[in-house]
Amino acid sequence: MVELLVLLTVIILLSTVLAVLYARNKRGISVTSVKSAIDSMVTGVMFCHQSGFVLLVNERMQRLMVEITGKVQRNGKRFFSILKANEVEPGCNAKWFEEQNVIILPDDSAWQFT
Amino acid sequence: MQRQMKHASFLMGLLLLGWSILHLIEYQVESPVRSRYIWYSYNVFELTLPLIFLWMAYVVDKPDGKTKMPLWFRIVVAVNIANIILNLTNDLHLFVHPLDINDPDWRLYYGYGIGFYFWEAGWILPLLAAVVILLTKIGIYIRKRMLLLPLFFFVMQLVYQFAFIARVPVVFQSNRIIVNGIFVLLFVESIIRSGLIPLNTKYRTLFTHSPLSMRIIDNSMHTVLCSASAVWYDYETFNEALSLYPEPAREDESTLLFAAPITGGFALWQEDITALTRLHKEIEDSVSKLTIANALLTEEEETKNAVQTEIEKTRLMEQLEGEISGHTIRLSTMIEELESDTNKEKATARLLLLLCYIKRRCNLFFREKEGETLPADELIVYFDELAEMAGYSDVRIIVTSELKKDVEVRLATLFYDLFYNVIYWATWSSKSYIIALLGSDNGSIVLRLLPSEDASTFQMGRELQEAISVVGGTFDVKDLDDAVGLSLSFESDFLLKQEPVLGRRGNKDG
Repeated sequence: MVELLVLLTVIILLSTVLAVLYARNKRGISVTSVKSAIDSMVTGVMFCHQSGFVLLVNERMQRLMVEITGKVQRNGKRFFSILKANEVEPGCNAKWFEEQNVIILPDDSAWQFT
Repeated sequence: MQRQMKHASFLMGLLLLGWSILHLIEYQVESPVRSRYIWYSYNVFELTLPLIFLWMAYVVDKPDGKTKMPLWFRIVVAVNIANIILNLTNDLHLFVHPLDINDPDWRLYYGYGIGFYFWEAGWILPLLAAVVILLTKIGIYIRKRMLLLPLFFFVMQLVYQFAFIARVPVVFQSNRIIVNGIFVLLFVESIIRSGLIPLNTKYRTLFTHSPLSMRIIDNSMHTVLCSASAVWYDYETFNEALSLYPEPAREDESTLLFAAPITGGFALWQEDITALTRLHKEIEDSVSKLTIANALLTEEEETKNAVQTEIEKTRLMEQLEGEISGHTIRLSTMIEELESDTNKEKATARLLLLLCYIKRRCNLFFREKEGETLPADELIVYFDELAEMAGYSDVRIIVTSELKKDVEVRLATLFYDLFYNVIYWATWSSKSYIIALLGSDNGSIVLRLLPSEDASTFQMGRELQEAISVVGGTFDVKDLDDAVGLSLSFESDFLLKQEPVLGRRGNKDG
């Protein structure tokens, strides 16, 4: 019986800690806020390591990856090599404008990658 | 991290927590049967966790949204559900763990049946498949040394499992549930750290050093995070941008200002649209230049057209002049000589004939230029008109036609010329009759004229002869038994849509 009480106490304590952490996370600025902020942007943003390993990517860039290459790319360098080689999905069109890669999507929106 | 990945991770955490709690509850249960069924139910967690991990591996590069579960995955799920049912019903068949269900110390003496190896495959194979899928998806871009830790934890878990089955004392006396849970946690965490499962990391460092020109402020309007190039605006501007979101507030020609509510505060950022503005300006300039150039070209085209029209008019008038100048000169002469002519009536009739002829020739000239064809009926009307005029100079003409439909205007003109010339020739006789027949012969179009006078005295003008020979026409003077006939024929190339319909016309006296 004592063990059961201890167990219940542990569960309640754990739940309380989680609830407090969640509420704090919702109320204040946290790591989630940074992600939420860059997800709000109209611009696609991706940070990657020199090797191409993606460190941070926002939702817009992920949607662009899917529209242009058919899937969420796991490597930034690979993604850029796809853009350069014009290996894009049917309906997309790669152009060069002022030495920058511009992709025209099927909805006629144009995206410049720098 | 994608939403599906988040949900899968959350579910994985819940399962680990539930597994641990169930394990704690098992210790509180005194009944050996209930305790055994709780022990059996651990399989739900042990077989579901690898499935969730496999699902994560499958959706890792899929876009957010509902991803359809593939057939192979459904099969794996069905197999593991069967596996769980087999474990939960072990008391009925003892295929998984052969044991004495009446023995209170069953936990020490249970064995391993064929179902147990089925269970082992149920968690090892999905886990291996998930790793293979993740490796395939990341391709050559994996940091190989980062694979060492996941591999280590996976091997350790296998070793632990086999040591437990082999009843190695130290391992067998350990808490299998807790150890397995720790291994699962370590394995998944090492997989994430290795980059096999993408996870956004280093938020703060990346954010503060990024060129995003963004500022994150909390609900009390204090700046919490700020990128290197971020600027601050007054509250009024900020509130305006916030109210316009997702549309931007325009700061100046090259800068857009956005403000958006985020978790725990607001984000305020600028977007540099200098390049876009420059491009718009260039396009506007180009459009403006093109509009001016287009207007100039249109004006030039109109002028050219006007000049060309004038040239064409002049050319046409010159051609017409060439065609009828001889006749107009003759007309002038005939008018001048009319007073002194002894037979004024006939001279007037010739004058009338010539006037009619000139009028119709002009008409035919323009019809020819328009590239039209002339219906045979219309040509006969022209003949009738001349025949009627000829009546005033005592020349009676019967015009007959076997042709209907169209005749090339050029041929019609030549027929008309000949017809006029023969009438003019006939007016010099005191009284004359002519039978005219327009018809076809062996595919050729033929105008036959049979005057009552001796037609061998008829002399065709040189110009008309040349005009006939240019289009391959044949003019014949045929000596018949009691008369001489004239005929003008052209090859069938010039005959259009001929139908043998007999028409008959005569002048008012004929």
